[in-house]
Amino acid sequence: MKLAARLKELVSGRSTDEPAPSGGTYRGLTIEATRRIAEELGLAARAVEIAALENGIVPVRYHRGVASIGLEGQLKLRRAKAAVVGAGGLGGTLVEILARFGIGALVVIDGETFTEDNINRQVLCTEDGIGAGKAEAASARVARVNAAVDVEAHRIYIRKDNIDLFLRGCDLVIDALDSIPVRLILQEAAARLRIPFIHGAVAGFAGEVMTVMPGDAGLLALFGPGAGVPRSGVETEVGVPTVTPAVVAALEAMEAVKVITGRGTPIRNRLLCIDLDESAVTAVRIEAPAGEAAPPEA
Amino acid sequence: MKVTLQSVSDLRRHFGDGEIELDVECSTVRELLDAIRARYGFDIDATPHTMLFLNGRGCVDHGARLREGDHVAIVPILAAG
Repeated sequence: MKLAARLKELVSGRSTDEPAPSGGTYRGLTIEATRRIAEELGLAARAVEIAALENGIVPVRYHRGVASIGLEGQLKLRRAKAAVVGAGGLGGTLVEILARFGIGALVVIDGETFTEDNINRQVLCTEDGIGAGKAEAASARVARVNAAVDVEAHRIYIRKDNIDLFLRGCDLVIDALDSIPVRLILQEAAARLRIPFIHGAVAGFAGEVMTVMPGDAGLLALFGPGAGVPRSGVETEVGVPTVTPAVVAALEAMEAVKVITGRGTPIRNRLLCIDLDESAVTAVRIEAPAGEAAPPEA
Repeated sequence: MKVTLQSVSDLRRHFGDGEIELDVECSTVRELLDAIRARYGFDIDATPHTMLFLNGRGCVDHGARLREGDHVAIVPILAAG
């Protein structure tokens, strides 16, 4: 029997009736059943879960999400590969959310190691993890949360001359960086590789999010050539408290889900500005056409 | 000339509302910023980590001409991740 047919037979045969919150049951595949099938067939757990979804069987761990995004949406997520660049405040929460949502594969890039002043806001940073690599911590966390997510962890700093290597093959690039010049390098690489780019940044109780599709101006409308790109922002004065990265990372993760599944309306050609002090959300329009430089320096 | 002024996050507290319509005598961004300083006490030149958008584009040329109905946004620069 061919592998695909055997896989289909096993996921069908080992699926079980699981209770649904709305009453009744659904056909589900448990983590344990998934592991056993993967071991028997020498496959990755991700491949088993994809086969289950293709046959209308819901891996139990995704069931509550499938109720919102549908089987097809979950299948798109399971097939998707996203790069999370930066594994600190934004990146740590992004990795956690995307793993639980069931993204197929993650490429996590961060050249830093944890320091004690990261603990307040970086969920991957723990007392016993000071000095550990952030990218490796992300990989270890995903393995504990959802071992059916493939992870590549790279402890490197991205540069113009190395970034393409890590982004190639990704369906999405998510910005969790802490440097505006490096963000511009990342957006430029995403545009060059025709990959959607999701921007997020925080400072104090303020945050911002924007989705940049290939051809959009995105950050170039804010910090285009000649505009004098700042290296840092207001966080040098107001710091970064615990809540802000969690909120902004959740919004970036939702943008990722929108882009991958095609649902909803991405925050495109708008900079969504969040003020947690006032519980205010404001969209600032971005109108620079693709490829056009921002106004020249005064 | 009527210009819409949008401000976000902490900056909106200078203006009382996140979006206001200003009726000012000015022909350039510089003159608008001077009028804003006189009326609201907000001096963008003395406020680090702030960027200004003119009709959806980052604007560092304060000599840029303004037109009736233009949209100006003042936004804090955020860089942490």
